[in-house]
Amino acid sequence: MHLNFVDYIIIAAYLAVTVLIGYLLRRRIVTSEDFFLSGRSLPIWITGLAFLTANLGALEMIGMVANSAKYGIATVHYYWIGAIPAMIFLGIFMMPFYYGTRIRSVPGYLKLRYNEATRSLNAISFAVMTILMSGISMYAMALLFRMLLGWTLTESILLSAGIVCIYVFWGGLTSSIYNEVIQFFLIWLGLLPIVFLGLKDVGGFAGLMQRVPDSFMHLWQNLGTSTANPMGIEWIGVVMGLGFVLSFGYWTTDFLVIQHALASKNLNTAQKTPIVAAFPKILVPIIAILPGLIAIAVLPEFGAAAKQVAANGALATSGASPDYNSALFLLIAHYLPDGILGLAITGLLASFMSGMAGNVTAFNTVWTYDIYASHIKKNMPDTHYLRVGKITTFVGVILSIGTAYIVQSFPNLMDYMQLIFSFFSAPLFATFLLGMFWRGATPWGGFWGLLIGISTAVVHYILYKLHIVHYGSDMGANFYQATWAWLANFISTIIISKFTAPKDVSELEGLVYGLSSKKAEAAISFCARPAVWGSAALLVVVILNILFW
Amino acid sequence: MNINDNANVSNANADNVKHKTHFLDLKIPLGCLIVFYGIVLVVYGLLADQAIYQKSLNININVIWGASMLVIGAVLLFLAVISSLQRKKQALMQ
Repeated sequence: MHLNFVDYIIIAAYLAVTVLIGYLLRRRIVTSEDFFLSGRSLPIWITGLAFLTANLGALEMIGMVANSAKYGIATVHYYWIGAIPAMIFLGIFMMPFYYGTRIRSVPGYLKLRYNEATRSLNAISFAVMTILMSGISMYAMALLFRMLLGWTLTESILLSAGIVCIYVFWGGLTSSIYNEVIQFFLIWLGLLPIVFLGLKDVGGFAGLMQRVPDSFMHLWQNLGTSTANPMGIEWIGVVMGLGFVLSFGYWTTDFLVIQHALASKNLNTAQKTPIVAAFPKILVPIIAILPGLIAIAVLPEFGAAAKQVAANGALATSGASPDYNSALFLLIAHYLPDGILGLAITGLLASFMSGMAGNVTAFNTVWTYDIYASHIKKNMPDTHYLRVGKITTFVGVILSIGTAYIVQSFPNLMDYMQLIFSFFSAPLFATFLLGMFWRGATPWGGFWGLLIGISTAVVHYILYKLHIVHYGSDMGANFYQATWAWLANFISTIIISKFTAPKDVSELEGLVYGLSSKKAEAAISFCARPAVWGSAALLVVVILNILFW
Repeated sequence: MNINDNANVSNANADNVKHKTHFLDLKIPLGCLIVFYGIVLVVYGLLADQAIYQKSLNININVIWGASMLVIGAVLLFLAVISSLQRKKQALMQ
């Protein structure tokens, strides 16, 4: 692929704007809350779009297209089952606990509800997880640059790391969030042309259905057994593993995501943030899944592989399997002339950079508030923590560079990501669920439950790698691993809570369902209520699942 | 640095801080960027060699998409002007 001067103008303009925004914000960042939580002042359209886009990074673009080229339309489950219900649940039920308690981070809630040990366990595991995720973003971007410009891994990593470092250092979370909103626009503007051209090329969606094997074009029909569909998983794995545990685990406890809602200017905005984000989320498959199907229809190596999988089942190994991670790039090279090519590349670049920035700001916040301020240097003035936060920006970026090299040993980015989540997010979700909705969860119950949950995931992974347990595919293994980890945490938290001392009810005020002073939600008009919009989103999702059965 | 301090700090500075961090209306840089892209694509699409559009099914996608972006960018800038007028009105009323 060759870029000309117009493409470079487009890319350069974007980079200039991101740095400019950081520059304009730097004087306004005065307190640590300005830096880490945008001073809790952002309006709904910004928090909503940024909330969505925080999760629309390297992973989505390369990984989802790769997955849909490999597994077919069932990949949409990651969105319609795997995100929407959890987002709605977060907005309606959990946001009052997160925002209402004025905590500054997700581990902050655990400190209030359980104890310091639980918070530290979560803080440390989250810090590790988020740096690993940041590495994925960097690596994916390095792939892009290598393919386009022949740059080495190191060169592209240093460029992107440098720019993200500057604008996060200057503007903190606000910089990060503003750039995510820009990214939202650019990613749609950059990738929609491929979808339009691709669909026109194959003769619309109907033409697509003709060219892609039938088992790749159904959401539920073939999920009776793991051998009948390209994903190698049956419906219960999808519903429980992805739909419930992994999805809720991610959307309701991942601080990178929650941080965006905490930046809202009031509780109602915070509650509506994930719900507002849910609607465009329903549409994201247009640019994340359709290209993969178009790749099957239009690019010979993917079409041939799909036919083989359709004939022989999910683990067909005869013949070299294509490099699915390159599907999106190949489509871009196939359809886009210079000019709009630059726009597509910029959209991708934007999504990688914001993925990295989001992880760095989350890491920053958790490190400064939950690890540094809680254990290393307590009771310093706020400006000290602001400085620590700024320095940690550099540290976080450098660590991410390191983990970018780890990503190389995983051929499928999505599976790697889900694996990380099954270790850290899935069990955590049980801790939050019980903490927020059951008074009987005790501090030590929470801690041991979480530890047992994470250990279960680790043990299960070892058993799977040693071939002691078997599944239809790596994806299936991840889903079940998450479910087991969650279950282990859930059950052990309940059991251990029965044997350990609970907190005083007075200490749980505002932290548990049923123990909060009910604020006047009746004062909001029916149309503005989070529950109304949430139900609308769920209804749309149900209808879509039926349409694509 | 306990949670109560956190709550006090947030409430006390809430008004000042709100004005400061929200003062940078994102619609302006975003709108300008998109309008700029629109101009670049339309100009390039009209002036450059037409043979490159064989890839894109013989459609001059640069001009079409560039024009759409001009519209989108213009809408954003228009909304930014409205927001700024609203803010001025609120400031006068206080």
